Amino acid sequence: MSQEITIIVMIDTAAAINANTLEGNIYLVDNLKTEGSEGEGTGQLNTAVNGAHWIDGSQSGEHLLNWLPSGIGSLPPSLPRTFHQHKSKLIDRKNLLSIKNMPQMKGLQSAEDFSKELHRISQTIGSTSNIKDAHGNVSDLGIKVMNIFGEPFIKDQEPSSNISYLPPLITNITGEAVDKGVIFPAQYGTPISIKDGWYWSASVDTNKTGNYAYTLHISIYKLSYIGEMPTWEPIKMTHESYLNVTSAPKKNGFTHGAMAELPILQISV
Amino acid sequence: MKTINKTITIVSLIDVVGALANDTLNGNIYLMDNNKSNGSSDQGTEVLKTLVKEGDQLVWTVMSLEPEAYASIKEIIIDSDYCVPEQKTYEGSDVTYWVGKVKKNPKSTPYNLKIQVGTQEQALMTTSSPSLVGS
Repeated sequence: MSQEITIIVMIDTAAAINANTLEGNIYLVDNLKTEGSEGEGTGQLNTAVNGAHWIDGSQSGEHLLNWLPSGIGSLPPSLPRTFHQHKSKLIDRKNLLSIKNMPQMKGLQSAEDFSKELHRISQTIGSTSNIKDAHGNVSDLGIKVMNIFGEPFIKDQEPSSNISYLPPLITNITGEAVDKGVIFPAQYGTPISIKDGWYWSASVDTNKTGNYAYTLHISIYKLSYIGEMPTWEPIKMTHESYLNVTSAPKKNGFTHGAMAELPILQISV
Repeated sequence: MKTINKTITIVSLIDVVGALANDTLNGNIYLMDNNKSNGSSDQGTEVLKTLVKEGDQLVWTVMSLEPEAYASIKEIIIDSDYCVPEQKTYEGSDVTYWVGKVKKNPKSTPYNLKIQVGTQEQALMTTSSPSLVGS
């Protein structure tokens, strides 16, 4: 049977940054526990890929693997893709409106009152962040640093544990399973919000049965302040996971017997 | 600077298809928090033990194993002496989360989550309780 296999890769980003390793800070879960996957919810997931073949030995159906990384301390991936951009603009618009309406505000009489109100507004703006690429080039990310509540993170006013880290990114998939031609990974574009526009997918050659390792190359983002400017810096890490590929003769899903016509009862009237 | 307490996020990862097929969360929910380095344990299981202190802020979020499937927390059942979680919505979306402050240091306070999965009206409740534990 063809099967779409989802592997969720959950990462405790802050802990991985502190420990400088994904080991102990990564949890993988797939949707094939009932098919024999082992190590669900741990860093040692062994995904069961149960293939099937025709009587001549050729592969029947295709198994597709999809990897979706997510941060435990990050805003939920179910939020719309445009949430960060939209919210960042909304905050700026709200604050500009507050400044525009200041002359009409009751209770603002003296220069000191105005100064206090401006200070209050400045405390709600937050900071737009920069991002560093793998070559060290810094560019404007165009979105504010957010907290886990979806509001701008205000440094010095809230704990760093409030920071919603940028989601981790898979940058490559290599290793034994790729080298031996068992999986053929590539990155694809998608409109589905949880995948943030891109996801890594691979088809599996289920004729190559056995247990194979593969390596996920993952970038997590550390928030550093360069002066007052928050900058996300990528840290490259790897994690090894496993596939257990099996292949059985194709069978009829209804009868569990050989592939033949379905046993439809003939009723004579 | 204000007094700074820690925020701990607890993610419920739901196998929606598995939960709907078996009409239970048992074996179909994986709980993880971002406080393992301070002593939380049983990460990736149904009985996550989150290490907390009085004043810590807890945030519960949810995601589904199958991206297209729906899951949300409908209720968190916990001794109100320790925490009174409230549901909030991310502005400009219909995505919800729950937030609550730890009112006093727990020894071990179990709690249960009621999760709505797919279009099934009746929310499913955790069968093995996760808990908040003190240091």
